[in-house]
Formats: sequence, structure tokens, C-alpha cells
Amino acid sequence: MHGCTLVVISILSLLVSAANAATPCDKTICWQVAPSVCLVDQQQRPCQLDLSLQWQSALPQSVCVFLDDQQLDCWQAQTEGQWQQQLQLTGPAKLELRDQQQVLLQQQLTVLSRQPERRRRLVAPWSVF
Amino acid sequence: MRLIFILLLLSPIWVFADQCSASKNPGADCAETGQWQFALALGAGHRSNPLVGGRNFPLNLMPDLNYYGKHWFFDNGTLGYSWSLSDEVQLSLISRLNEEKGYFRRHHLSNLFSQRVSESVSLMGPTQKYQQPIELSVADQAKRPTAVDAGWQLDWFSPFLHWKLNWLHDVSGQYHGQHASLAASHSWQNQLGHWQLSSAVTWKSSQLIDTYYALDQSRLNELAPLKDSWQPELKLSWSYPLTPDWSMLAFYRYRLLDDAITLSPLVEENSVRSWFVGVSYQFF
Repeated sequence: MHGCTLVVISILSLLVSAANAATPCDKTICWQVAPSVCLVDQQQRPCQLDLSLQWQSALPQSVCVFLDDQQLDCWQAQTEGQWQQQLQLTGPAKLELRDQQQVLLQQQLTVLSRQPERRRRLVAPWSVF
Repeated sequence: MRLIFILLLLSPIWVFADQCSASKNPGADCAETGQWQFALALGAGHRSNPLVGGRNFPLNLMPDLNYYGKHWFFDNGTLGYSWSLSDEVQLSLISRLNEEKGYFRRHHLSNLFSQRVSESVSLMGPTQKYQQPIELSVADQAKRPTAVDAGWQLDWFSPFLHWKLNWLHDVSGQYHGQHASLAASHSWQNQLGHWQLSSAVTWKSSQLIDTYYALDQSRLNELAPLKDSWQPELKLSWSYPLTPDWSMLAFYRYRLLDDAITLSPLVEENSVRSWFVGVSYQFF
């Protein structure tokens, strides 16, 4: 059941990423972030994500990209930029493109486990009677 | 002697515990969070009934039902809410029906029972009136309250053992007592299947013992109240997966009843023994 959910989410994520890449930018500033879902073998394990992003703007912009308030890179008076690096995620994270005043773009990065989360049972099995 | 027996039961340290790791076959010790799990076992077995005239409880069809969320859980009749104090320690607020009434549901009172009670009671009391046959109300003896217990459980998953300490109190106002237990269990796997050895010692307050194992309420003022009871037990479980859904299953449990409870004229055996051999099917 979890496996099916993961496959569906992964496919949807890929489709959304593909759609983003194909969609022409009709706003002042746009970006493409891929992938936005990181798959890990087991819950609670760090997830390695090869992230790449590209942004384009109609006007020159001075912007920085942040991962949960940690600055990753900056550009000064540019109309486009790209960034690629491996990230280690321990959980859901927020990727943001900001100028000095505000958040211009935002993308949620999600961590999914191939294995469902398990808990130790606190009651003995077959102990109804 | 009793203490040595208890200590021996609580020290099965010659085996090694495995973890509830998602990468291994989790067996029946683990539950996927956010999903109900239900299995049925079909086979042969029973739980003995220590009461005079008590019939064994047949174990031919057994359910195993649980749901574990992030904090809430329901597992075989126990409803709980857990907090993780650390990776190895969990504290839970739990509630469940008291199990004591179960013996009385399979209680078959006979003529032999009446005779035995009069004999037992005559031994307990020094006064002459106990030597006279006591007229027992069969219906009253079978009536025992259905009580709901609530309390705390502390689970510690040490590298070798799963320790469980719980304390439960009657919150339904039926017996106004409490009981507590300390248990240690250990699971391991080998070519022969998945094994679990567990031992426990349970303390039951005098109010609990008196409510369920004294004679009917009208006689409480005539007989000395029963004392609190210590009940050690040992259980060995085994399962062997045949397919992802079908498994073979067996267990044996031995619970020793101490003098505090066997003094009751209603109790004729000093142990409760449960066993089962069969197959189980995991529905979901």
C-alpha cells in the first residue's frame, strides 16, 4: 500500500517537474527546482538529494537562495541563474528565493521513505485471552 | 523460594534481542504506523480455569488486532497514548478491561462446589459457624463486576530485553484496587522461526483479590479479607512464516497463583496454564 503511494507520488512529482520545465515563464520571476521529493530507504535516515535549480527574471535581480533560512547562494543584478549541489535532508525543508525585502519564490522539499514507519508493539501479540 | 523463582523468571539474559528495524522482517513485535493490522489464528488450545468448577477457556479462534498511530494505539483491547522519552524509552497512558472476570464467565457451579466451599471455609475460620454448611447463592458467586482499569506503562527497549513496567487502577469504581506488573521479554529469529520468551511478575491488591475471589458480598463481614497476591508467569511463543500471510503459531504460558489467592474457597488450582498450536492468517 505504501509502495503504491510512493510510486504515485514519485510519478506525480516527476510530472509536475516536467510540466514546470516545459511551462514558459509568464511571471516577473520564475524558477525550476528538481527534484522536490527525496526518497530514503528508511525513516529517520538522512536523505541525499542532487538538487538543481534555475531561475529567470524579466528584470535584473539581486537574489539569494535559502534552504530553511540557511543561505546557499546569491546573485547580484542578474536576469537568470542556476545552482546545483547535493543536499542532505533530515526532513521536510523549504527552499526559497529571496531578495533583500521579501520571499520571491518558494518550494517545499519532501522526504519520503520507501519503508513505512514502524513502532514496537507495546502489548503482546495474541494476548486478547 | 518465591523470590528465587521470580528472579529466575526475570533473568532470561542468555538470548539476544533484535530491533524493530524496518530493514528486517519485523515479525509480530512491530506495527506499521497509521494502519490497522488484523490476523486470525485457528487451532487447538485452551486457557485453564483455576476456579472450582471452572471450565477451561477454549482457544480455537484467536484474533490479533492493533492500530498504532504516532502517539495513539489500540492493541488487543488496550487503548493507549504514548510519549517517547528517548529512542529506547516510552511512557504510555493506558486503559483496558480488567481480565479477572474472564474466569467467572466460564464458571460452572456444581454440587461438588458447594461441598468444597463448606469444607474450605471451615478450615479458614476458628469459629463454630464456619463448620456449618454455608448456603451459597450460585448466581451471586458467578456475579463479578466488569471493571475498567487505567494507568501507566513504561517500556524500555534495552539492547537485549524489552522491559515493561505498568501500574493500573480501577477507574470504574468496581473493586477499588490496583495491580502492577514488571515484565521482561526477548524476541529472536533463527531457522526454526520467530521466538519470544517473556516473563513477568504481577502484583494484585487485596481489594482486587477480595472483590473477585472472596465469597459473595454478603459474606465479606464474616470471613477474613484475602490478601494481596503475587503472580509470576513465564511464556514462550513461536511463529514460523509459511507465506507472507500464513504462519504457524504456538505458545505456552504458565502463571503461578500464590497462597493469597489459592486460600480463596473459589480457587482450586494454583496456576493458570494457556497453550495454543495452530495457523494464523494476516488479513491486513
